[in-house]
Formats: sequence, structure tokens, C-alpha cells
Amino acid sequence: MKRFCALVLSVWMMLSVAACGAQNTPGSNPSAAGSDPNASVSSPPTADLKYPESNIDMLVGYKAGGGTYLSAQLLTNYNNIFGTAINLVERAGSGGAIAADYVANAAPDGYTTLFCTASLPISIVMGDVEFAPEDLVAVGQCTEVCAVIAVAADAPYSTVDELIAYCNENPGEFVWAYPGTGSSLHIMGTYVLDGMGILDKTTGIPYDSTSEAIAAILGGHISACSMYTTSIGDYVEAGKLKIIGILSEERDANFDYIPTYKEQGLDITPITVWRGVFAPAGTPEAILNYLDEKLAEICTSDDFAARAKELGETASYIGRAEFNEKYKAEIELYRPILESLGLA
Amino acid sequence: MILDVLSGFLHIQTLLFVFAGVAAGILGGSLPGVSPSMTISLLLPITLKLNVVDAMALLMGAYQGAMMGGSISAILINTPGTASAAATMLDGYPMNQKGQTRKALQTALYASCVGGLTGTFMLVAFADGLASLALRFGAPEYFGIMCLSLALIASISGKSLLKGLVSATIGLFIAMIGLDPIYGTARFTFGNTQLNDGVDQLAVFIGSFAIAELMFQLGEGKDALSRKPEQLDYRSQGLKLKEFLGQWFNIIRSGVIGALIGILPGVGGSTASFVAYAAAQKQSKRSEEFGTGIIDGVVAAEASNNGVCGGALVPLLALGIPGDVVTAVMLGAFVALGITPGPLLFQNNLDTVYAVYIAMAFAILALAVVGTLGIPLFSRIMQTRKSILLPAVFLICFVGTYAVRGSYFTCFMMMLFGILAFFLRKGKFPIPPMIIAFVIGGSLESNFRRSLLYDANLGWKNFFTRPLTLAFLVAAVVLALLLAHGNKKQTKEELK
Repeated sequence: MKRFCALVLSVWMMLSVAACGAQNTPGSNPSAAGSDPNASVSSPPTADLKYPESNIDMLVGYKAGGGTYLSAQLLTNYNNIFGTAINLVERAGSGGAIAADYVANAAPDGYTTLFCTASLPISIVMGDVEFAPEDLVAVGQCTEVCAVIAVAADAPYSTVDELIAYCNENPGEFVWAYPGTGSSLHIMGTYVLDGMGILDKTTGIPYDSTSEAIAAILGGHISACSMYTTSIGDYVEAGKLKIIGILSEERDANFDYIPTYKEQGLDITPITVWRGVFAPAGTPEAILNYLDEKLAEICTSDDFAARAKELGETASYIGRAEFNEKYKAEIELYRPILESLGLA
Repeated sequence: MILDVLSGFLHIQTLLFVFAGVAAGILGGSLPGVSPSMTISLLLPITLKLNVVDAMALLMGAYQGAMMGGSISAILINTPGTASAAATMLDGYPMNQKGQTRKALQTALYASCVGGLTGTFMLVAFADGLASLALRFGAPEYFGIMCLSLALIASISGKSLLKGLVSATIGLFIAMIGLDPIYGTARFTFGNTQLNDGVDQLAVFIGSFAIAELMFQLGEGKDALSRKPEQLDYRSQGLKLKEFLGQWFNIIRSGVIGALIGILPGVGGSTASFVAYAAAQKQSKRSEEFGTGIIDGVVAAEASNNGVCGGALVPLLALGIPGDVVTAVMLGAFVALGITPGPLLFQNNLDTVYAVYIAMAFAILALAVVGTLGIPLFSRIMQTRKSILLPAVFLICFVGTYAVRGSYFTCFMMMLFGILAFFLRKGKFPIPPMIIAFVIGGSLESNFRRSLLYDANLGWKNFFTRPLTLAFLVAAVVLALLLAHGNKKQTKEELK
């Protein structure tokens, strides 16, 4: 009997070690990765590159259920292409800076990666992170999204002009939410409202996630939310929300009923926001190339395009080298914007 | 249509998926450090290969299983397997220490099942009404309900209200560590970025309960360690049907509390179970026995955290807004299956909604079966000698906290809170108020500050112009005064 109990205990402990390996200590426990049915579907392509040998952790700096997380979850549909399971780790907070900090300081072994948005260059400019831009290297861009301002369907304004008029008449009444101070949506909202010349007549409130902010709009507690087009379609179709405008050069193909700010006469430079994968600097070239190759295969596939469209995003793959240039260029792009908004 | 979906569930394959989900959930739930949302994340790749009915069967099974599984380690080794099982420890572990291991586990299981059914019933019957109720909660209302929960703390402060308040204040302070919720500046982190998103819940729970308890047990000396735990004879160990039926009102109330808190996005199972626990103690005839190992406490905690499942699905299905972390991860699974939960779900995918309902019901049945079979197995762990059991528990604590973030820092925090709780207990300061204040503190603060921003002209007056908020705040004040008064009377009587 004693032996049996010791057995039960040790099995329990082994399981928790294994589960812990599967979760957070990649590389240490290949057997845990084997428990995933998709993990063994395809074997590593080159004989000399022993990668991936276990799950790849992908950190997401925003809450589960939010746009960035949902977009990252798209990649987990393709474990068979990656040759291992992509394990999403939610590390929300500080507009994505906490997750970025973690990855920048992680071991560059290819088992810790970051899925993020343009909030990364923004956090860097704002000084929210404790690493240099070079500490992270781009792996590949997956999708592009555009920022919008969503308001309740029964709000007394539907266009940019009406919103400007409303805010001038009722200063302080327009309360808009964004998912965390320093997040890309905080900047996009500030940028657009500043472009309308009504920023100081509005009140911005940080929420923990976009979905909580939507609940607050639907309940009539706040006026608006700065958000991406991700998973917005159903709310518009159901007559719950309406969109003031979209921050892009041309109308988004998925949402051709949303007018751009530009066509409403607003003179601001459109900014399209990307979502993509990053790794710590120093990650071996072979591994970066492997991941980039797989991302290319996934993000250019029709299946991915369809899934992204369903979510309200546009599949838009850019390879390693080009994406890295873009990332660095955006740091310089955002700096003057943030400085003029008084945020940098 | 509901019959079509139901017939879809009566396949051996689907039923197997329900059982597999429940088993995976119980396993993941019982392992400290593997949260219900992690368990669900690990199952997501499998659901991609399944049809909607099978996928729902697996996910709902795991959800219910994980909520119950957390109680197993809470009862056996005073370490919550999941954050929402923290309240289960308050009475579950003392029951175990009295030799009533099997009874405690059975109570947790069957309370979970009935609580889960209550939550599911609320989901099926009132999804629409509850969703619009959830929307009526703005930041001031959240603040109000958090205040009410804090007032309830006073009722589990034990003998000295003052010591309870000191303990709660420490909890609120811990909740403040990390980034400021509005401006994003770091507070009390001493430049350590690992503290930016706050002190990890599980590190605090495991530290202040399991580690502190281990230190106490070590202090008992060598003899106590080599002794086998007392065992009652097999018959008196078990839960009697009459005892369980006597708890019917407690179960239903706790299940309803769980479901109602579950519908509020951003408020999780741990808040629900503490509120249900405090409510049960408040209304019980033997409230002074709470915390000494009575089934009432276990029933309240477990019925409510399974009630949360049904509640948290309400905003997810009706509004596309997840009610807790687990449903947030599930949202991704729905999207991958080509279903977008949201305002159109009831119009476009009614069969999915039915599949979720039926899967919940089947999951609860499967939970009862798997749990009943598993309990004799689990309760045998307690027959191990303490000199073997305690080091093993110590190791599990470390592995569990390490797994939360894959960093030794969390283990360090766990030890720190173990030492803190050890000295607090030595000084007769109760630990539960600290834990509840810590759990509630974060959203108490962020919603308080959001409320102040809501309306620039009203400012703090905002709390008094909203009827629902005002009602919560008045109830909180009245409750706190009543409790303080009762406590004073009790102390006087004792002095006489």
C-alpha cells in the first residue's frame, strides 16, 4: 500500500514537471511536446538543423480574447507546418511592453518568440521598455490591420464632422477607451483625435482589454473605443456599434462601408498597423530562416487569408529582412508623432 | 433543432470526448501551476481537427473538470491547483487534517456538479437577461460590488476585527505592486521588470497557505513527522447523503453567486468563491465553525467556482465578450472552428449555442462519474508518511510556481509570502482577509480610478448619482457596521 501511494505521488509530480516543461521550459522536455497530436506530423526539414525539438513559446502582450491574441491564435492552426506546437503565453500589461521585455531578455534559442503589433516601436520610443531596438529581431510580418474609432450605434454622431461639432459643444462628454496606456491603440486614438483638433475636449480611459471596453460602450457607460477592425464586423452588422472612420490610405476591402478619415477631409498621414513575429537578438540565423520560411508558407496560403479575413484582418506577409527594416524605420516614423502628442 | 444537436451528442465518440475533456481538466486543474486556461490552450490544437459538437464536448468537459480539479490539491496538500480553488482550502484542508479526506473530496465533487448545473441552468434560461445585466455594470458599479466583497471580508476575519483589517490592508498593498492601471508608471517594483504586471496570484496563494503550513508542520518536531496521519474508519470517512442534502440551499446560493459574478467580464472564479464562502458563513447558524473544517465552507467555494462556468459563457455567447480567462482562450477556439461568438451568434449559429448547452450538461455528468471513480485513488495519497509527503509537497509547490511563468522569480516570491504568512499566523493575524483583499484589490483600484474619469463634471459624485452603485455602497457600509457591531458584542461576551 505504501508503495502504491508513493507511486501515485511520484506520477503526479512527474506530470506536473512534464506539464511545466510543455508550458514554459522549451527544450528541456521533448516528451511533453510529443503529447500534442500535431507535433509529430512533419519532421524538421534539414538534417543538421535540430529545430524545433519541442514547443515554441510565443508571447502575446495583450489579454486573451483581445485582437492581438486572436490574431496570434491564427498561427496555432498551423502546428503541422511549424513542425511543432506553437504555445501562446499571455503576458499582458503596459501596452505590450512587458511581453517584449521578457522576450528581449530571453535565451536566443528560437523557443521564445514574440507576437506583437506596432505597439513595439511605440513602446521603444516612449521608453516603456528596458532594451535597445536591436535586442529584438524581426522574423516575419503576418497580417495588417487598421485602427478605427467605434461608437454606440445610437450615438448622436456618425461622421468626423459630427463628432468634431459634438465635442466642441460638449467638452469632456466624449469618453473613449483604449487597451492600456502606451498601447498602439492609445497612440492611434490620440493621433486621430488630435488630427480632428478635439483631443483636449475628450477624456481617454485605459481598459484592460478591447472586449471590456466594448462591453462598456454597449452598456452606455462610455462613448467610444479606439480599436482595430479585428472581430468588429458582427457588432456593426448586428446594429450595436458604428464606425466614425478608418485610419488607412484606402477603404479596407473587408469593411468597404467604413469611410477613411482622409475622404472625410481629415489631413493626417494614414498609418497601417502590422502584426508579426519577433525573436531575441542572437537567435541562430538558421532558426530565424526556418521560422521565416514557415511563416511565408502559412501567411501566403489561401486558408490563412480566409481565416484572417473572417477575423477582420488582412493577410500580408513580409519576409525577415524587409520586415526588420520596416520595424527600424517605424521607430523613426513614430518618434515625431509621439513627440508632437507629448507622449515621448 | 435542439433534438438534432442532442442526437449528435449520443455518439460514443462524442461521449468519449466529454470524458477525455473532464479527465484532462481534472488533471490540469489538480496540478498547481497549470491553470484552467493553460489546460484549454493545450487542448485547442486537438479541437481544430474535430467537428463543432465534439470540440464543444472536449472544451466544456475540460472547463468543468479544471474548476473541480483545483480542489483536489487544495484539500490534499493545502495548495490550490487553480486560483479559484483558494477558498476551498479554508475548510477543505482542515477537514483533511481531521481525517475526513474522502468526505472533503466528495463534498467538493458533488458541490461542483450541482453548482455547475446551477450555472448551466442560469445560462440556458436567462442568457439574454443576464447579458444585459452584465452591460449595466460600468466602472462605478464594479467598484461598488468590489466594496461589498471587501465588507464581506470582515465576516471571515475571525476573532479580532482589527487583526483582520490589518491583514486585509497588507493584501491591498500587495495588489498595488506593479504598473499603475491608469498611467502605467511602476509602483513598488524597485526597478524589477518582473514585478511590472504585479505579484503572481498563485505565488501568493501557494506561499501563504502551503509554504506557511509546511513551516508550521516542520516546527512540530521529528515525532510528528514520522507519524501516520490519523484515519477514521472507512464508513465514517465518507459523505452522507443526508448531510449533503442539508446543504441544498448553500449549494444553490453559491452556484447562483458564482454565475452572477461569472457574467462580469474581468472578475474571475477566485473572487466568486471567496464571496460565496463569506456569504455562506454570514448566513450559517454555525458561522464560528467556518475555517475549522466543515463541509459548508467546501460546498460554498466549490459550488460557486463551477457556477462561474455557466456565467462566464453568457457574455461570450451573447456579446462575444469573454467573462473570464478560460472563456477568453475559448474565443480563439470558436473562431478557429469558423464560429464568431457575438451579437449574431444566436441568429446565425443557434445549433452551436445548443451544442454548448448540452456539452455543459454532459460534462457535469461525466465529472460526477470520473470524480467518483478517482476519489478513492486521490485520498490514498494521505496515507503516506509525513516525512515522505511533506518534501514531495514542497517540491510540487516549487514546480507549480515555476510553471506559472517559467521563471525562478515566482518561486522566490512564493517563499517570501510563505515567510510573511508564517509570521502573520504566529501573530494570530488571519490569512484569508489578506488573500481576498489581494484578489479584489486590482480591479477595486482600476475601476475606482476609471469611475473618476467617466464624467469630468461629476468626478467623485459619480458614485452617488448611479442607483446601482449607490445601492452596493450603502449595502457595503451597512454590512461592515453590522459585522463590526456583532464582533464587538462577541468580544465583550467572551471577556465576561
